[in-house]
Amino acid sequence: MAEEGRSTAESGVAASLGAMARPMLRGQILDRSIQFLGIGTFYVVILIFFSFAEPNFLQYSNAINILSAVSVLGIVAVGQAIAIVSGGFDLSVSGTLPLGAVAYAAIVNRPTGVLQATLLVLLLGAAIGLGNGLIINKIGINPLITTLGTLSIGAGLAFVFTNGITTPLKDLNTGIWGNTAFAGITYDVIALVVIGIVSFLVLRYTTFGRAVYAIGGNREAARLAGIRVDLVSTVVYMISGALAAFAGEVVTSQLLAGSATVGGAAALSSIAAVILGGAALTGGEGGIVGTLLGVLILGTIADGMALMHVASFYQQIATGAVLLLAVGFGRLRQLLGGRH
Amino acid sequence: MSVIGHARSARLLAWVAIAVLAAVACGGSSTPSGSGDKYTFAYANVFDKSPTFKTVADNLVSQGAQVGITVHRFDNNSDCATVLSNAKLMVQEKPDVAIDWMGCEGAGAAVGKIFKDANVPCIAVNQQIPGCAFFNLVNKEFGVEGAKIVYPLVQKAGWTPNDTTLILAAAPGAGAEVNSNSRFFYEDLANMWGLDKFTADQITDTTTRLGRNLIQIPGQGTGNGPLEGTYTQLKNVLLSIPTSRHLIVFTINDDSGLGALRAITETHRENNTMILSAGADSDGVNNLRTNPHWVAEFSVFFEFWSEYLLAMGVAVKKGIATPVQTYCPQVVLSKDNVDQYYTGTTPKSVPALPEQDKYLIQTGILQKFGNIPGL
Repeated sequence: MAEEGRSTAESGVAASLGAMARPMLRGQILDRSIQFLGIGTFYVVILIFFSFAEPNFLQYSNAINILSAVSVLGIVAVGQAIAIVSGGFDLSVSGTLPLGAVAYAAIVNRPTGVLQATLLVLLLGAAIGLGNGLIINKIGINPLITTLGTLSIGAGLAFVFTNGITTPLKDLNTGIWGNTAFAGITYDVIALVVIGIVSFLVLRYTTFGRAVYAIGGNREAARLAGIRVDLVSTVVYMISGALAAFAGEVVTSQLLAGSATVGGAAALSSIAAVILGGAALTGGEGGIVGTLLGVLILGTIADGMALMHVASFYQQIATGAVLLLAVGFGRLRQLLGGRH
Repeated sequence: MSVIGHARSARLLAWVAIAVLAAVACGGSSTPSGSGDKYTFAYANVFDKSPTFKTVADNLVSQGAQVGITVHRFDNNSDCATVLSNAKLMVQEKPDVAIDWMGCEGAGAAVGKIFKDANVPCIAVNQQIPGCAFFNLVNKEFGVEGAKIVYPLVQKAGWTPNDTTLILAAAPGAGAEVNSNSRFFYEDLANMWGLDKFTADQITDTTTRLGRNLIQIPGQGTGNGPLEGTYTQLKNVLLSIPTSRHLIVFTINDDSGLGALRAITETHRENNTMILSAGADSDGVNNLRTNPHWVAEFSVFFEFWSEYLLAMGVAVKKGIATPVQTYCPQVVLSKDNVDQYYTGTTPKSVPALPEQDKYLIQTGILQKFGNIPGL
């Protein structure tokens, strides 16, 4: 009875919130569409620029290179996007990724099947995410501090686990994600696309997805609307952790070896991609398509600049400038449009 | 804001983006010009942010142009993902030879597969890549020769194994070959002098203390670079070592050496310390010349690597048989022999070619630069 009563009350609150939200939602969709067009235009400009600047850029093989190169960052960024939309963020991906990388190498070298190893790696990542979620939601420690701590623990464990020594895959066939599936497209790219589509659908069309946006928009309002905020937030970190660990597995597949030194830049790069894709660090905004576009922008700039043999110092400047431009543009648009 | 307004803003953003990218591309392009080049090499440098390593790439481009070889350069940034991406970009350009200094231990198999699949002849620098000719220093020699330099000095100074601590500022995670310098230094000095005996294999990445005499710290720092990293780590460690004990500090590069020197000087222990360092950058050689406590410097003559790599590339392209390893020029400098190889802090000559490197003579490249004795 009590459960039923609560459900009814929650339904009532949710219904009234939903009614209020509907006109806003249309505005938001229009706004997001324009924002997406903005970042999409931006990407097209980059493509056009490099196509004229570097003859090797506009080749099919280079497109595959870009997609393969961004696959790891993309997988991490999808998890990061969900965390940021929910109003948190996850620095621990830079520790979980190398841990997933060395764990996968160690597991498949035992030997164990790729599927079982993948499952174990996903569980490992989810367990780290569970730890993050519990610390943040039950103990109340800030996500920055929590995930910074678990970043350090994860990265350190990866070194301890391997004694600092890179572990080559004994059977190169276990590096499946780096293999070509068809037409030069590698499995890591397919994995990114599948993860992207599934995450997009989950965020857009499921109760869980709507809860993530609601928590990011206003945690307290979401709680009052009957959303189990702590549970949803914890699951968000578990997803982010699992994806980061899986990204580690993909790196190991690409390198054909598990190294504890990989993924150091994953946290900041993934946050940059998510923000580039139109998310707000305050939560409640952003999405998977924008994030993947952000990842593509970062990857395409790196690829184009490398093809043009631009010194890496300048690449750094360009990447930073593009990030500031894109985010600054969004902010400017908000100010001119009178939104805050 | 209207949709038209957004469109204007998007166009403005597009123009600004083009301007930024164009400015950056113009400022940073390092593609050499020139026509009639005989070969095109693609070179991925380990880490352009290090001036020492950047020299290798800069020289390859400029010296390559002198001998009719166009060198397209990439920067691996010591990042495994970048290493893979660059390898793919390199083969996309279909160079005559790809030269890869990865800076990512373990990526060799994947990179080797990329070169093999693209049928591009390749050279691996510093870390092996299956299927590629291999160019490297011999880190162990730094340790072995360093021990030979230090042993008479400690005897002359009257230090004993009972009152001396060796601090190895190593590079955990960089692999056993890289760390063989410090580990063989300890093993050889222990054998000569009677320190607590441990073999190089017994000193691992997770070793912090062994016996009475050995302490190991991460010389490349933990995210803060070798200079600050070694400084911080050593200052902490020094708190646990009585000031009466003598110190021998072995560092992996000159940034690490300078960090060690700062820590030693700040704690007023310089008169009780000997430092050995590697890299032979201007600070390192200058300290070897002027600082009585800086007793050895491992030089691999990075300034001359480009000549060797160009010659090696031509040899690989021509199908000349290469040895298991082509040695880079290297010597352990002491206060006694530094003038033989350096004028001030600038290298003036390298040791003669070792036997296994003599195949390089057939290419005629080394002779064009005239820096190798006897050629």
